[in-house]
Amino acid sequence: MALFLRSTKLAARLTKGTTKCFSRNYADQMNFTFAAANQIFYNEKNVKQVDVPSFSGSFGILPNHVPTLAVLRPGVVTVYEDDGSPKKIFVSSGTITVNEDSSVQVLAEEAHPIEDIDGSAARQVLQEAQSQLATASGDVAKAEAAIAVEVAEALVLAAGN
Amino acid sequence: MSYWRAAGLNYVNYSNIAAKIVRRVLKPELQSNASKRDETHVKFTPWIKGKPAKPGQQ
Amino acid sequence: MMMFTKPTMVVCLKGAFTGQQNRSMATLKQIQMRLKSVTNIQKITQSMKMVSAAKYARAERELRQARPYGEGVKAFFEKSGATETLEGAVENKLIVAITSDRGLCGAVHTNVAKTIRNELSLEAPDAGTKVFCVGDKSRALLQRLYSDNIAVVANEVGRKPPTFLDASKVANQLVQLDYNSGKIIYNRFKSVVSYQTEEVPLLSVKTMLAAPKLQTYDSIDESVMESYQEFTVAALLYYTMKQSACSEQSSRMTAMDNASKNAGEMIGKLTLTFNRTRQAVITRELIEIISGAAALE
Repeated sequence: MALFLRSTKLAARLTKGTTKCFSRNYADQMNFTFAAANQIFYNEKNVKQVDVPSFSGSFGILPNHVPTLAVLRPGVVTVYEDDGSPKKIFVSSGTITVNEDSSVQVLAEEAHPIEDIDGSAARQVLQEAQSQLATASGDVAKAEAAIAVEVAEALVLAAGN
Repeated sequence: MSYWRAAGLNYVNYSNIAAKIVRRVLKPELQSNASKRDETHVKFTPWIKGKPAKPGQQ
Repeated sequence: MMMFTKPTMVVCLKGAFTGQQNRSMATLKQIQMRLKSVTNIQKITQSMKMVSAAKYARAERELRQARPYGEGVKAFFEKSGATETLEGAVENKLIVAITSDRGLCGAVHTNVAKTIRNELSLEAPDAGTKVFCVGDKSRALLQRLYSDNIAVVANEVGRKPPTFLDASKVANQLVQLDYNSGKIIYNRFKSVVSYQTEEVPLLSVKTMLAAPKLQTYDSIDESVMESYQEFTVAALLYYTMKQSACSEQSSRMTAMDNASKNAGEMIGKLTLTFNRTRQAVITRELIEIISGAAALE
């Protein structure tokens, strides 16, 4: 009887502190912050993995990733939350920071879940950007138009998925 | 990466353009909020030797 | 003739003897005017308070969303030890003052300007520290003593909430200024009734590359570093501009609220004075009439 009581007490204590216990047992935690200028998607949350598109190539970040800095290119950031479900969020540009203590910050200028992208608008914008590129004169205008094409292409790709 | 840097743009210019494009393809219900982020009003006046140089320009 | 002049002479004598009462008769109109203007002022400050309250609510909402921008950057600075390299740098310093164009907001702008003035006063005159004034108020407060230090003034700030595009434009202007180390002085919003003037470091690419712990970061090529630094500066500016805007609106709300309360007190006091004066005038007229009538008997 005493043993039973003790084990239920123990079980009660365990279940109370379960979430804490479990996250402490995860030797590798990834403190993940993902914010756009006007919206916070994740604020110091624990997630399993984050895939980011960067100018140094697309790469996945797991807990205990080597510290690094990178710069985002237009594309989809995929966040695999603790329960495994992936969330896809399109980012325009920004920075990625992986610190020594395994905290990850992704700061984007403009970021939206891919559901919020209008596919037909994306295709139209791509056409406009391509015609702009064809008619642009001068280095700066050409570069600006090329950037627009790059972004629009990434958007069409993301919306299409 | 280098084609825009070669043309004299920096990453912030790149980012602004990319963000503008993304805002244009959002679904209509998000457009009103997005257009607020497209606004900018700030103007700059360089100062030389304690006096403003040219009238405000971006 | 004598009878005619007598009462008027009496009045004049009386007036000369009691100079104060004569003055209060003249000031009844003045008190009325003052009462009217203070009532108007109270209406204006009350409406300004309402407007500020609305703007503050929006600014606070937007600030909440912009927090990670600042916290993330600050965290990186600390964890990479990049801020330690700033201690030695003395030349080519840059100070960015985040204020706005509009006043009547308590001490927000003066606090920023005071901090900068204190810092500039401790330096040698040829140290060449440059100040980037965001907002006309900082320019106005600094130009008397330190106009030589002002590098650029940004105005049209404060009418609308700051956007990332605004911060980007400021960041692009900063790129053109050559600096080794810099800092942004702004008001960090703590709560509706309190804010704190703080500074946050601005790192150039050189100082970032010299950060002690940067070696632990995976080999990063210089072009990535450059882009990273450019965006980080814009992000930091966005964060400080949002913080300052929120502090300013909350401070304006408090200032206008206090002004309305003060105006209300003044109206109370003036109304009492007005009534007293009015009664005194009536009493005096009665005295004159009665004493004039008594003199005729």
